[in-house]
Amino acid sequence: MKKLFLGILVLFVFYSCEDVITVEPELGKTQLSVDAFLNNKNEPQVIYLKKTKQFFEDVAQEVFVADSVYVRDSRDSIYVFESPLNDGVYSWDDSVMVSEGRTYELVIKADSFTYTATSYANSVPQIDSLNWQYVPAGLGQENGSYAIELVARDLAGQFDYYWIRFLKNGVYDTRLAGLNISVDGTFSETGQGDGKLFIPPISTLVAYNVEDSIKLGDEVAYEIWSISPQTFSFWQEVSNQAIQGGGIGALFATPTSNIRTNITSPSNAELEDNAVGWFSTSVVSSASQVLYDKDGEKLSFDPN
Amino acid sequence: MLKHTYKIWLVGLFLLPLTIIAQNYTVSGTVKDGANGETMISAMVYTADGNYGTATNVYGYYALELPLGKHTLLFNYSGFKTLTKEIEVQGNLKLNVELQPQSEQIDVVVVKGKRATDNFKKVEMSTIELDVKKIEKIPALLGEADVVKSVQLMPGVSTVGEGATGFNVRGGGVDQNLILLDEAPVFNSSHLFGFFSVFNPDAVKNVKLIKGGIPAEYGGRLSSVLDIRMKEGNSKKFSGQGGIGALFSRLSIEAPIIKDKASFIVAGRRSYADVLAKPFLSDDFSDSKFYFYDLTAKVHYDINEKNNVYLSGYFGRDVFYSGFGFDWGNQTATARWNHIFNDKLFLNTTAYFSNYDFRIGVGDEESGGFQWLGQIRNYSLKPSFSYFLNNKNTLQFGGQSILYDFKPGESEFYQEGNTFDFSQKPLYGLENAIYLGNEQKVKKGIILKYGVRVSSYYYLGPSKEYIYGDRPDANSSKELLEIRDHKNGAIIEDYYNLEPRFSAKFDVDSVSSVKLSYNRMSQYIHLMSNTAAATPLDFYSPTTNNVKPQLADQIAAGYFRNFGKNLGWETSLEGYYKDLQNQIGYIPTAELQLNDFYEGDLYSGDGRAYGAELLVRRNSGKLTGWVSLTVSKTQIKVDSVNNGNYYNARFDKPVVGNLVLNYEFNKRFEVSANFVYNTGAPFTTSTTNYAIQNIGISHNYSNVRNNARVPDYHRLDLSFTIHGKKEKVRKVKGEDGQKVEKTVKKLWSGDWVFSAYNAYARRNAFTVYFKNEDGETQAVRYSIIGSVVPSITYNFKF
Repeated sequence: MKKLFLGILVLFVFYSCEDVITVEPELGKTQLSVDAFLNNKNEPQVIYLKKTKQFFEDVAQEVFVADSVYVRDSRDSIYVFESPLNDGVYSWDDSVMVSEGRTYELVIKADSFTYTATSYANSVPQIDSLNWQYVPAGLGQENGSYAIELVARDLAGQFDYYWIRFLKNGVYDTRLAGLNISVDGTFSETGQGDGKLFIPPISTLVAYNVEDSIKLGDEVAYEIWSISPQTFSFWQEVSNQAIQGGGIGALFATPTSNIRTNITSPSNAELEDNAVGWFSTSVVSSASQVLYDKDGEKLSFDPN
Repeated sequence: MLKHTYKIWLVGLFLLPLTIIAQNYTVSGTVKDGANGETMISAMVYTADGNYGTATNVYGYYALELPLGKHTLLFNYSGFKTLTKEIEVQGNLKLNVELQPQSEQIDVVVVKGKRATDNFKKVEMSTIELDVKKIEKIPALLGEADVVKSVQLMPGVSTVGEGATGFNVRGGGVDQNLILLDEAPVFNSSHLFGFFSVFNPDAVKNVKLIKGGIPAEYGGRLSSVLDIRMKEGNSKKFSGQGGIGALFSRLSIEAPIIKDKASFIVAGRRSYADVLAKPFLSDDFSDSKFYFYDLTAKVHYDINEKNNVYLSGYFGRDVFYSGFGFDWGNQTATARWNHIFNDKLFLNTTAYFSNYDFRIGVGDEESGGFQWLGQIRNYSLKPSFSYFLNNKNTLQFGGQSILYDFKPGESEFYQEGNTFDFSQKPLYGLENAIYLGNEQKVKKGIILKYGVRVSSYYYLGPSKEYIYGDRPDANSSKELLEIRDHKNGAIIEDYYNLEPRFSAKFDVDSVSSVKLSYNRMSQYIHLMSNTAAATPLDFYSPTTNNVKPQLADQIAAGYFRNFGKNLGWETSLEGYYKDLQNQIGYIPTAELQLNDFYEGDLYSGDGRAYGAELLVRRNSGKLTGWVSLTVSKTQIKVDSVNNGNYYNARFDKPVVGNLVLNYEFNKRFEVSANFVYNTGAPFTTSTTNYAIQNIGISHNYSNVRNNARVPDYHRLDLSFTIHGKKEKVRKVKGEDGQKVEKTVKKLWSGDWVFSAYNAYARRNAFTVYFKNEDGETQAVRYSIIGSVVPSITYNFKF
């Protein structure tokens, strides 16, 4: 919602300006960062271990080499992640890994420390279909593009948490602005969306905002990843941090605070040996479509 | 122990005045402006020997007790000729007077006799009074005189930055100021996100900001009272004024309905940036709207010597539209009745309604879309008595009842004929207070003002009461344990607070004094705002079973002295310490909008603020203005934010300095300048970063909140005013039939104001943010106003 009216403010702030300045950065020590988002797709499962880097340093994150990395599920299956190149990239590609209804525990051993994290794999609804509609150039969108709508129905019953990911020609939209999370196909735990179709802008927001426009002939795809309430909060915090961006939006930025982590560090570890990052297991549903010219059809929510 | 102390207070309060036996007679009446019949607030009434004196109240009424015999009574108000009345007191006496404005000549004003108007003579401290004429002389953004912006140039008052809604007083939040327009509270004092305040200076008579030693008749906010009184309208003749500026135009009309008895004023403003910008907007934006307007109106009727009634109202709105609509605004309506029971007992009864709401919407039920409304309404009745017991004691007592009706968010989404209701439930609260205070002249040179306010608050049904447990972790919402339903009118939770108030003045010598004050304040409504600056979308939460009333204790001490020829230089040095309880903080993912469970996302904590304020001010002569310097610290501590330690508040500004100067060359030309300096506002910067799923995440290694500051803020504004001729020479027939030249007032006079805001184009940072450009992390300073803003305004009077 906030994003919607931010754009308009730019219109009347005639005198605003931005310029790059130098600030004396406070230095922090580097820590282990864990990036482990595993799923049930038939593809290699990858865990990235790196070190955090100084905020102003223009370098890649250094790799973190662990002694061993493995995942154990609630049926006691053990999945050992290997890093043949010692580049911090640990992978498992023997079989499809995540199964709905199981709990997974990640274990990372490094030096004398053991880091752990757990995650439960929730179920996910199927995507019924994709719709699309041309959107002419407008605010925040220099060129005309297509709005892509995801038609999916929330699973009835409990609160369900989803991470909705958009792909254009096989490439994930990883922009912060494209981060799209949902409870029951709506914004929060109101129960209003239970068992109903996903509502806009949850069902259309991502595609509409893609900077390089979508054209006929492009292949577009949506994936719904089931996530835990904790992972929902994690992405929510990341998304809030994203709003810190510049421009007049600065007026509406919330204070920066550290993003949560579900990686449990050993209790005897110093602050610099505490890990950051996230471990999540998802069941994924997807649908893709190559766009062709179809006249007259409209989305349920008129993006124009 | 504390309870016992309060008892002594109360007993003392009732007994003290009774110990003094009155043997005198009362002279009472109203003081009005002879040019337009407006009642005059804080006009001084005193005997030439300086032994007896008082000031008019906010309705222009005074009562002064004098012994039998002859007296020379002086009536004095800045900018007006002092009126001298020889009276003989043989019984109670009614004396209504009118003061005539000083001629336009820039004579250095010489006030003879005692200067009872001097700041150091009054018991009030931490108080700033500005009349509209002074406000109009301060250079302003786009040449538009602004009530709130002028107040911000005073010591102890600051703002987070340009474009920030509201203002901060002595370390208080923007919602901790009680902003009253003819006694009705205004919830959002800003147009255009803080660039302009909502008050039309053409309709304003008097502005008073109380930062400390807040008298018992005020309550409900922790940090300050901004008491704005509207004009009653010219009761002598038809007149008007207005202005044509770069961004908006103003027009006000005032006239008698019954000469000297009843009058009205209507004043309006509308911005037209959208109209001017239209030719430059591309087709996509051609239907865009962005404007604001406000309308202020008042009627007053002097029914007879003992009864006056006033009706006033305000209606303002900011409107934006570009594919979707977004608008917000305040409305107030006030009805007042002044009744004089006898020479000593004065009653004002006020009933008001005040509303603030915002609306956002796109589409409709058929085509799909959403609507969102947020609203706070309140209804209040407030009788207040002034009892002029004798020359040594003036009692103030009364009460107030406020009914709050909150609609934090009413929202519906429409999709394919389905309606999704995301509304938050409405909330209700009832705030009551009774107060009693006395201003006592103990002996020559010592004045005490003391009182107590007892406030109560009820969180009312119909509503659901949420019972929360602990948080699963420090950053998460509290666990919801139980929901209890409550019927209409049920009292879900109640709170009571005893708020003692005290001020004292001790003369050091004939030109200086020392003042002390203490006040406790309580606040039952809370602005839910977790952003860098408050926004029009922020909603007010009532006090509930989960949100406790905010409390503040403030002590202040000051030294006041006048210097120079005619004691024309007024100076004050004040120090304060404020302790705040039940301050509100937010978990990192706090969902404050359209969320019935927002209370679970709040942290609670404490605050502390302390500082010193210096003011040097010159009010008369060719060169007028002031220098102010504030050195202060404001910190808060809420649950797990900043590892549970005190940290600098977002509006902590250690050093704030203002220089405001006005020089009148002659009747026609004047120049004004103000210079503003303040320490940059704090913000939180990251120390390290990492990526998850290719999304960059910033990290603050030691987790310290507000660990950096934006660069210091400084700005110079200039203005130059050319006054049109206000008089002309006309030939009229004299008594002997000969034509003689006579100076008469022109029917129309106009002034040109040329101004430059931010004259040396300083790029003051509102905030600093970080962006990644080609793999390089850069710090970017964002300036809301980064260049000179020149403007020309034409103001007129008729």
